Amino acid sequence: MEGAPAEDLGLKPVPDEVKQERWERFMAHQQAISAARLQRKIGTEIEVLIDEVDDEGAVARSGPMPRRSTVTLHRLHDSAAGRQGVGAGDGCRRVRPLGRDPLKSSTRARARHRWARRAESALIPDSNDGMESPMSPWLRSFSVTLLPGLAMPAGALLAIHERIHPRWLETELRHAILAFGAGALLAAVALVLVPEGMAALPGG
Amino acid sequence: MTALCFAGGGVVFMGIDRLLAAHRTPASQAVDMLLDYIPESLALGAAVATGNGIGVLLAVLMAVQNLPEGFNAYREMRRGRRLGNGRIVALFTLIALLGPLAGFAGYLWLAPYPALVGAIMLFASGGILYSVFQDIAPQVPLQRHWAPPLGAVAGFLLGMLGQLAVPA
Repeated sequence: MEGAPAEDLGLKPVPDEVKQERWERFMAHQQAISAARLQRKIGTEIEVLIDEVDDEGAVARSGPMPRRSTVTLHRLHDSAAGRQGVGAGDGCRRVRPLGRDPLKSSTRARARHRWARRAESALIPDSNDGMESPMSPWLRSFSVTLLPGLAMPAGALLAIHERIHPRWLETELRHAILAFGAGALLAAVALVLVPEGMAALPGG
Repeated sequence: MTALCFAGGGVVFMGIDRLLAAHRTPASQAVDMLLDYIPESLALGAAVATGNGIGVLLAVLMAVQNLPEGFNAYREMRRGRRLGNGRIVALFTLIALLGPLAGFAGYLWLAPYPALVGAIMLFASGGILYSVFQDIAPQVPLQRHWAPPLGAVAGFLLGMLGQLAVPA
């Protein structure tokens, strides 16, 4: 390139074949990253805005997309659930069942409507998006799943502490805390586990 | 199908509970706690597999429940006087590591199968409900004290508020 400092280094231009080979290597690497990210979306249902529909499926956008990219979605048929959905999308954070046929015009209209309302927020890039390191979801999942277990040794340490200071936790308070935990667990069952489980299963 | 998974969870955990009751050992308390923790870990692993915010909410609710559970289990194990403080805490920590194991399993293998994740959630729900009424709720009542049941209401309230705070 004219005027670029690299021109003055006296280096021989790289042959076109080498350029092509490097470009292909780079693209292969990039595609592997992209494929891995998309792989994680398979089997999930993603709220999308349908841009166009043809015989093969639809082109739609999903989630807040700082890059304003469009992704090609494939019709997925979950035979076990007797449900159709669209899968594979980049930059998507929310997952929600779309109903029997997401490509129906009414769904499209709803999607457009929702999208229009979110247009502003979509312009603000999601801070996680685009710079997500491959390790972060693992670390997140590790800490999320370790936390409730660690509460058990923590409870034991509290009990040891109570042995040093007898009657530090009065009986009534201890029973109340136990009941509090049972209430929290019931909430987990009633509000999260059963609704999510029933939504995901056929005949729910 | 949903009813089957849910009922199956309750029945399977009852079976394990009865099996354990028939073979009481000094480590039974730890096994009981482990038994409560298994359906929780299963549910958590399944929730992590769905990849949205509910995993965090579940983790918080379960942490709240496990704190008094660890507390009580420690006291009962200590009463047997077979294990020292350090060993009990180490044992509990070992049990705690089951959580990430279930979580990774969910993340790695279950994420592509939403119906399977749903089935596990319902199975775990049945198991959790069984252990709540078998182990936890019966320990709560006290003669002429009214705070404990109110604690259950507050615990459920925490779950509700968490549900509202987590974007669906």
